[in-house]
Amino acid sequence: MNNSAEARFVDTLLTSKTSSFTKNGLILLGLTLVLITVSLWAAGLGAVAISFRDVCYILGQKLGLVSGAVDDQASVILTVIRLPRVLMGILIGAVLGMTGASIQGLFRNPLADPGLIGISSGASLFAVSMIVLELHWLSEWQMLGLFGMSIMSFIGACLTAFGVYQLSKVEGKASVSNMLLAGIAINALCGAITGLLTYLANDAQLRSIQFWGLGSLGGATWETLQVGAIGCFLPLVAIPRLGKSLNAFALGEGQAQHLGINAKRLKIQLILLTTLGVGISVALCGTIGFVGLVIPHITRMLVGSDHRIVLPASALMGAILLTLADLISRTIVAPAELPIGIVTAIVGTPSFIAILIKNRR
Amino acid sequence: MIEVQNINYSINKRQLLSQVSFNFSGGKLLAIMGANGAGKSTLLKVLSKELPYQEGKVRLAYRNLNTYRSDELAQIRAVLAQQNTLAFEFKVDDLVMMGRYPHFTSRPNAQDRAIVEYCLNQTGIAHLANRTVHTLSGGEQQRVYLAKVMAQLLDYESLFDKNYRSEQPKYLFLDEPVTGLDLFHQQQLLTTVKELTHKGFCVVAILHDLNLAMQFADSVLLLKKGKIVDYGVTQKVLQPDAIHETFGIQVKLFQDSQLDYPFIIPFQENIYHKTARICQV
Repeated sequence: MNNSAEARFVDTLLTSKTSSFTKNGLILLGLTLVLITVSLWAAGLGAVAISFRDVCYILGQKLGLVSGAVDDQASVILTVIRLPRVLMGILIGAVLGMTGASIQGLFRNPLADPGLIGISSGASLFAVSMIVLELHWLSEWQMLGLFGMSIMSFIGACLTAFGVYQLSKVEGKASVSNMLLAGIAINALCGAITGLLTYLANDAQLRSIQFWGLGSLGGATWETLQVGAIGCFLPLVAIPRLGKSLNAFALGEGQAQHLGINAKRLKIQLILLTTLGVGISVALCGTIGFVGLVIPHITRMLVGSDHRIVLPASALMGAILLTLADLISRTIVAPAELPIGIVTAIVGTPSFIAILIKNRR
Repeated sequence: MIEVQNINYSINKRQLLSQVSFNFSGGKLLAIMGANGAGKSTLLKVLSKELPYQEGKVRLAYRNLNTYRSDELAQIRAVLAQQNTLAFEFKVDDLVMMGRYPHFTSRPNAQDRAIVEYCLNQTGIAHLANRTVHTLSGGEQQRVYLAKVMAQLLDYESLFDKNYRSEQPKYLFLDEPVTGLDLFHQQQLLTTVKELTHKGFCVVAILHDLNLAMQFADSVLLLKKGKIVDYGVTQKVLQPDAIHETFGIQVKLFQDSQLDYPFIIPFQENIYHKTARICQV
């Protein structure tokens, strides 16, 4: 073939194939816009309603973009109470959605979720131990301060994930199917001990265990948000970079290695990043189920299976879902609050089933 | 160039390969043949560095296989597995593009896309490019995976220049590539593979069909219980005695005046006698 034919060939390819990248870019842009709108809207709703325009105006003023008088009460409610909570919802939703997608990719199974490798149950066990055994001395320790419980549950998450990983090793190689079995065993053990502790707990402790178990963004302040942002930064930035490797992993571990992927390193990276992200989120907001399992599903139905787009899109979808779920949880029985885990399940399950049925046709 | 010296491989004290040695040069197609459990797949996995061999030496391109990093190896060696399971629903062209993964970091360039396009055309699946792999038949899927391994090894220059030969030797390992394919697609796949040897590729394929080996392979390696029965030029190796030794089946070779290779027909004297005896009991 001569040079001009070659050039033509490449030209047609360039025009026809770049469209998939622009399509993916548009999807991410669209989801980002939806997220911004939803979160500004959610920030305005609550016991004291602030209109969408006022929300934008107050934020603009705080950022120094516009000047002029604003309603002081609305401004305080927005910046001290609502904003950290909405931002926390975005952060935790993003982490749960993205780690869910990455764990499903690692296990090559769309039914997997971060809970499978014991992260959530380990974190719960440690948190419940703190509540029931009343280990106040930990909280009183100056360095731990307010975050005693969070740090304990994070340690719990790391210990169980590490234990599952070690148990799954066969001849120095962590096998994914063994990891699943070890995860189930560790989950059962943690569940049993948590159950035992629940049995020993008094009424007040039971209530706080139950609330903790179903999750809540109610504790969000600018300080906890800072901790969350620092902890979640690494997973949110690093996991999307593993998209290509995860695509190859979908072919199976052996074939991924034939494509030059270091499967062992990939597994360790993903487990560390997921433990960090999910551990931090459980530590700050309790166990919020459903997001890690279902968000990646919904995302794949929307954008296909390419992890390079599934991972960031799952983060955005998770953020949108959790912001909405938190909005419902704090407004539907106001002035009381519903645990957010209940909302994610009640709102999410029917929509998930609806999508499943629609897809089957 | 593949150099294999005295390879031993055993698992749970079962010796799967013993004292396997052979040299094989590029630009040719080698067929590994043998009965079930003879160690064919094990040998291929040792060659592709999927299994660590315990004794002996394997060299690819005059370099010890163990000194290659997996990403280095991915540039020059592709493997078509016997079984492919795909965990998520990928589109055909996205899957073939995975073959280019070792060659780009985040996004494929125009050359990568051109290579994928070329491989889709060569394997006759260009019209399926936008389908998801799950919706295809087994034979179509097999061609998708062949396109993927081709895309992994082909250089952009070779798409336009028939005489182009890659500077780096390329190795293609195929584990039963035609199993489950119809007659036409068996011929089509092996013809495509054979053309790759003309580009300098070193192709090693596990085959079961003696006649396909006779038609396409340059060399044949016969394995029995982990040991080499015979190795050499196809027409010299595929003779009744060696075939009987390997498979326990009597065959006859026939020559047709219009073909430059003989065809092989089993005659089932042994089996017939055995069944007759069983029936009498």
